[in-house]
Amino acid sequence: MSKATQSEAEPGVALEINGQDVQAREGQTILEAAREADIEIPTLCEHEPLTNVGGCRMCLVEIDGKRTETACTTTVQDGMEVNVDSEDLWDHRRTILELMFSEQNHYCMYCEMEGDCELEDLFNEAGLDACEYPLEYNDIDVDTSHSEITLDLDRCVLCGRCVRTCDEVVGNDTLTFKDRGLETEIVADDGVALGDSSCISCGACAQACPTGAIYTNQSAYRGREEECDVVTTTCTECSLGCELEVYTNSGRIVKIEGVEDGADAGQLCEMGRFGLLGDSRERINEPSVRGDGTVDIETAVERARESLKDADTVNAVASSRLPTEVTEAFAASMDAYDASLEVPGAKRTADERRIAEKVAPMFNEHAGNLRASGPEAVLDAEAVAVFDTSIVDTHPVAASYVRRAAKDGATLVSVDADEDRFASKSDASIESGSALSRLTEDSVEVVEDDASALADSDTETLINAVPALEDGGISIIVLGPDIEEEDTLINAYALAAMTDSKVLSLPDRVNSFVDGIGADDLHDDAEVAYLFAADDREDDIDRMVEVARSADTVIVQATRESILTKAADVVLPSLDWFERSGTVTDASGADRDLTRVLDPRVAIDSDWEVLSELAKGGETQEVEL
Amino acid sequence: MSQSIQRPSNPDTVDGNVRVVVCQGTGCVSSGSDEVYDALAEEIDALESSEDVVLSYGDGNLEELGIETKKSGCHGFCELGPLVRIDPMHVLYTQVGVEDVDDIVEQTIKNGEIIDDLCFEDAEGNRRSRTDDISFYTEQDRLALGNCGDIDPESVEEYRLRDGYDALEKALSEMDPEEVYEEVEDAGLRGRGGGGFPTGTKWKFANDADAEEKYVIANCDEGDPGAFMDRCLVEGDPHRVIEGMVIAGYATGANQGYIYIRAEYPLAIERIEQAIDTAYEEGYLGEDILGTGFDFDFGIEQGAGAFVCGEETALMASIEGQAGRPTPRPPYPAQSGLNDQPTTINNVETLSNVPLIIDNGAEWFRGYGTEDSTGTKTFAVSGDVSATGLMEIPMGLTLEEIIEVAGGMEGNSEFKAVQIGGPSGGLLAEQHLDMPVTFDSLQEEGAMLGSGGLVAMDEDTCMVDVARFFLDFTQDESCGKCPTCRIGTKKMLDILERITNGEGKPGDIERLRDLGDTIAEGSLCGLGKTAPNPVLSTLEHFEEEYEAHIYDDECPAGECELGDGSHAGTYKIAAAECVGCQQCLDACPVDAIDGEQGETHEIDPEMCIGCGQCVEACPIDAISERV
Repeated sequence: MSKATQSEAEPGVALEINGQDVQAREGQTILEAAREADIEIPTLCEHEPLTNVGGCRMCLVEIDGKRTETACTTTVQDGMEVNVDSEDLWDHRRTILELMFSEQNHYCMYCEMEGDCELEDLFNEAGLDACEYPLEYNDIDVDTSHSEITLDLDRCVLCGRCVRTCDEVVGNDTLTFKDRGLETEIVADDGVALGDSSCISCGACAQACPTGAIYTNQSAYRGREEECDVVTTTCTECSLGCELEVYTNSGRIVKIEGVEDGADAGQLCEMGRFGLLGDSRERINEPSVRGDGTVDIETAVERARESLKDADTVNAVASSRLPTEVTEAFAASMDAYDASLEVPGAKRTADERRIAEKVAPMFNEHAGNLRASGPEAVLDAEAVAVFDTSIVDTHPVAASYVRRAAKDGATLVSVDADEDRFASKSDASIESGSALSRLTEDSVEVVEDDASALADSDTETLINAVPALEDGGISIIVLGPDIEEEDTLINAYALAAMTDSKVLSLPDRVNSFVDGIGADDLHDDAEVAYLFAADDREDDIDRMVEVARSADTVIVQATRESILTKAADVVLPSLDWFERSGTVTDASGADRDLTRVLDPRVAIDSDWEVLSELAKGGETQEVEL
Repeated sequence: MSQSIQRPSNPDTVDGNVRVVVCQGTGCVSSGSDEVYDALAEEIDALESSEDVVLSYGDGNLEELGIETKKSGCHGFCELGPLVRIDPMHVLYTQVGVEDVDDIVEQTIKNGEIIDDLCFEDAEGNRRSRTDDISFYTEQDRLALGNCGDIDPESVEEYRLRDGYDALEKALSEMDPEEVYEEVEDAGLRGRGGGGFPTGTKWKFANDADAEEKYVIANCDEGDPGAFMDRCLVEGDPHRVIEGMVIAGYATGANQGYIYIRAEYPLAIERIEQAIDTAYEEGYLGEDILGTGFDFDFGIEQGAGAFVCGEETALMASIEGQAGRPTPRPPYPAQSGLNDQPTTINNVETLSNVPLIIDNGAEWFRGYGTEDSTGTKTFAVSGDVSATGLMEIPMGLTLEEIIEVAGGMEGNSEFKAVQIGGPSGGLLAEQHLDMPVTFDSLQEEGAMLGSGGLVAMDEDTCMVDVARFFLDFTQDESCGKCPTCRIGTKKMLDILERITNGEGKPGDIERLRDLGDTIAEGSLCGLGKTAPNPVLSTLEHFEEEYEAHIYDDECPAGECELGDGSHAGTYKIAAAECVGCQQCLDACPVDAIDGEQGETHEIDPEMCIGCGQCVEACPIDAISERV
């Protein structure tokens, strides 16, 4: 039963379930109709975002007193009489569960999933308290090769949810079944250790697994779900802004899960699911000044203010993880000191706006808003061109949409200066720097003057390189975060205009869309560099380190210790991602909420505290917060 | 005393020549019939070219007819291969070896004398030299197998001489698709793969379906152990299968067909490959077939060793390149099958009947068989019969009649049971001997015609072991997708193995029935749903054998080696004698005896300490020691 069929379902099927009259829509399954009528049917291999396979047999129902079918795969018919809870059915379920118990290691006592396990729940519901069959299981070695995900396949019930998730939701096809019958086993690729496989570490399989067969190392044995508090917030690791469900227990974050009813079907990615938990760097609790050690906020800010006031050249760089309000406040603060402010991705976004407005009408009078409605638009595309395939690393969920579109039959063309990261799935890989982008030199001149030169033979070449884009179906051009050169942007927007495609722009992270902020050119050398690093980590702070090196005085506002803070003259604390609240704008242009998960245990309660202190000494008025 | 052969006045052979036909079916080839062919051909070719050889038969000679050595497909008389038949006299020589070739040429071909030692010996000890005198041949109505054993399967000319491709021409140029499937519906043809679904109706559904691309698939996965009907059809008459397929494509609106053939049939694959190439050359496949504007392409897909791929949805998954695991139905293949398009899947034997129906008409076909099960059925008969092999007989013959055609039970054996329908089927016992074998009559008895495998068993066959054998097969072939079949069949097998090892426990029979019920009700596909059949069927007709194994440590058929001594020293109650007086029960110090007043009591060998108190207590001496 595909998702598409469900959404096309029309009204009007009357049936009876457990003696209750139920109104269903044509095309719905018995399971869907029952759920909407609040009638429970036990399931195990069924999982909301995935196609149904009728494999576990838990949802067997009696239809019209004559046949027994799985409710998850059977469509409703007018006048059907369905019995969900007959004695026979529960006898069968109990027998099947008993068989499953004997097949593998289902001793709950030592299992990470105990208390949250769907199989355990079914055992209890069916009243299974003994197993008369000899227990014999395959004794598969636990696969601990992966740093984040553990496979304990002696607990696997072969429901296939992980396989279907990796296939249908993530599009990566890493997990699959090997062998048959009782020898059936979940394997990665053709039987390699998970850590050596094509796994992209998104952890969606662990979330989909109903038992303790697949679990995540950082969250294991940290508490049952019912013992946790859950806060929903937005991820700020890239510009997609996936929804996060953050579980906390006793003031600690226990795990992060995705929300399954959106297009991303709860998959998240390595950064959002694991990276956010794993920052083990030392937290900056209090401000410090070089030479003076730890100081209070006022002193530290005073020191910063002095340097800024005296400086003629100030470079400021803001983390791209900051919410809009903080970014705006920071911009206002820096403005007071006449600083040049850079926010990663902001310049590109500004360029894009300018180019879209100017270039598009040149190639297509009717080119309206070229912007794709959002990343989900890729799923329905018939042709997708990806400029910069590093989105596989930077925006993994968007990359999964591209793979899913390709698996569904969409033509995929990759344009990249390096390796095509979609290699096995793309229909064509174009090296940027080749004919397609050499044209951009001409394009640039033309944009300045007049478009007609491009309107002849070059246009043909451009379109011929990506013929599917012209076929008339829905087509999307995806721009990854590494695209910065004006030439490529012109190229892409021209192409979109000519072929009636939409552009999905995926800049760095969540605050590059804030209008007019962060697109300044920095000074080559500055007297003061103010680096609002927030919780940036690893390669993200490279740019700031570079700017720091070319400055005399360095002020850093950061969450954790790094080489940046070690080199700074003034270090101010900053909130971590789970302490922030505010708004961010995602790649579809929507405003999303950041919700505080845990209260800060550092010297500040918000980033604004620091910024407002800073603003007090500026040449302009106090900042409005 | 040698007989001499009369020359028939009107020689009736495929091509009008004297034909020395050597069976080249897999069975005979495995006994060296290919070498026999080569040796015979060499000598006979030499004959023809030698001028001073006079071929004589009885009162005339055959100079005016040519003589040739020919290959053919399976004759069916497989137990007695390699088979050589000389047409038009229908002289049959059995178990022919290369060493017999000289004699055949010298004595029979040149001098018209029969070699008694090479003739079939019937149950009374008489030697029968001609197929016309052998009931195995005369009792058959070979429709689907009509050309098998007669024509050279590698020759399209011989196929055409036997009206081959006439039906295709008639269908494409004189009938429209509706008329074609209606003719098949009127003929009452039902699926020969085991489902028994009316073929014409299946074609109608597919024809009604609206889609850009439709498919027809010939299912030649034939996974039942011991079944080789489809193998023989494809090896022996591949063009008939092709013709049936193209007609099926025409009737259903499909322009692409596949034959899914198991990899373990290399000779069949070779023959159909060759036939397909020839058919393309001759214009029976490809574009604008016979100038009628109908296009049809035919491809071969091979299996890879999975019984479950005989199941329609698993078969289609396999063709699509996925693992062969079934999916729930509906949707049925006619609505959404291969590549999600309407697909018709037919068994090979079903398709082999189609050209005959089109050529001769529905009424003609109805002349065979019964009202509801028209036509004929091939059976691969094996087990304790005299002539194991392949036969084709009208539907509606009784079980007893079928066994007679197969030469009756072997030697002195008494009929005990017949297993029909392979691992999905059940048993028929003595009380069914006079039952006409049709789709419906079997279903009423809780059995299944299946694809036509039939194993005859005598009194030396243990019914529990038969169940174990088939369940062992099914369990190994389970795809593993649903726990019911995956684990359930294993647990059933475990119980059966314990029983046949003498470790049966009280309650095992109930366990088998309960498990069987859940597996039959709760499995995803036909493999699982029918896996318990051999068990439930043997339990129904031979429950006392199970009880003997469990309670008496006895295998009535004498097959199982029970009593490995693990329960030696414990006691057992003779179930047939027990009157249920409770005396032993009261006497037992460890409560090892179970039973209600008036019902048979049972001693649990696991609990029995061998003290013998029960023996003392029993008033009728019904308790004895296990060894």
